[in-house]
Amino acid sequence: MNEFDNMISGWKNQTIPASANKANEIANLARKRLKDTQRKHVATIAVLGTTLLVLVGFALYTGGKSSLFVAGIGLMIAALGVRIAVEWWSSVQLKKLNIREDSTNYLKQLTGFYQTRKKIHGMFTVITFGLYVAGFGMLLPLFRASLSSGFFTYIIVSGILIFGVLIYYIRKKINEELRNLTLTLNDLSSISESFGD
Amino acid sequence: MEQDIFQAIYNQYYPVVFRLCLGYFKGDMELAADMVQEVFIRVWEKHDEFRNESQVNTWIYRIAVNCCLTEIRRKKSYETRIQTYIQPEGDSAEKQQHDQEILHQCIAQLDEPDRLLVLLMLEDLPHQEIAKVLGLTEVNTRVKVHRLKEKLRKNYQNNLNNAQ
Repeated sequence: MNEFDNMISGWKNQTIPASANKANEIANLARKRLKDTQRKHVATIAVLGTTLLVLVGFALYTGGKSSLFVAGIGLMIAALGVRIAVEWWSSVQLKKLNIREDSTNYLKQLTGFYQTRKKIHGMFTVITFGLYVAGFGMLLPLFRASLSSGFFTYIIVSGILIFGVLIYYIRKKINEELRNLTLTLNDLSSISESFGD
Repeated sequence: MEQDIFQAIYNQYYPVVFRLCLGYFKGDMELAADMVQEVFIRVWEKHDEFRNESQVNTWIYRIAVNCCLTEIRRKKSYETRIQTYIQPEGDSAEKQQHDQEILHQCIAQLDEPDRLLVLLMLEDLPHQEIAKVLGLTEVNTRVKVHRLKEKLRKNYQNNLNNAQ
């Protein structure tokens, strides 16, 4: 036996703690996670979808014919619609990651996935959110003309507050996510290089 | 039937996957146990595809290695916990053989790609299979294995000398 064979023997003979879970418990955990993931995914789409439906319903109900109204509500609907589509597409991409692939290919898939996430979390989110706010802003003159001054003031104040909180939260999350994604991509890149050299 | 297949895979591969995860997480039992659970959840998700598959071995190793690679995303949260090899506490430490501890220390000193490769080498996988798991050519694998054996041997000697 050479030195490396001794290492192998020592490695394989180390004491392994008994499994905390039985196979059927792991299977149950897997089933639960599958359900939770599907539920979470449906919930996200449902929240965004409901907002979209409310906007579409509002547009149809008011039946505004002015070009400003069509442009404003159109921008809001389009921004939200694109966001839902991207969320759905991203979850499809995540499902496509094939954990059974060899590690070199898996790393390529993982890197591609994170690069896309980086794009989504970067300018894309800023642009869609900006379009949504711009659409809302275009509707304000119409609100002022058709609503009481009290209600209009309420819309302005609540709008500023909501968008302010959202901008702060989104900005914080984007910066955090982009920092993590950059670190992850750097690590994956050095691992890929090391596998490939 | 499917449950039986999964049960058999779980019983057979639990120690192997645990060792691999333990080595990857530099001896942190808790992180290794979490990762083992993750690996077998992923295996369960794919276990119907294991039927008629002759190389279950390769699949399990691929899933285990890829699960570890996926954890890079959460590296920041665990790297502070496992900067160096964690020596098991209590009774197990007393029972742990000295050379096994040295080996764990040597593995912990390697970077991620080398660590994963060494862990496959220590499971005594042939070059051909390591190449299939990692997606490398056999020639490249042979070169890397040779280089790592030498590196591990030197580190082992150094750590052994330092321990004495």
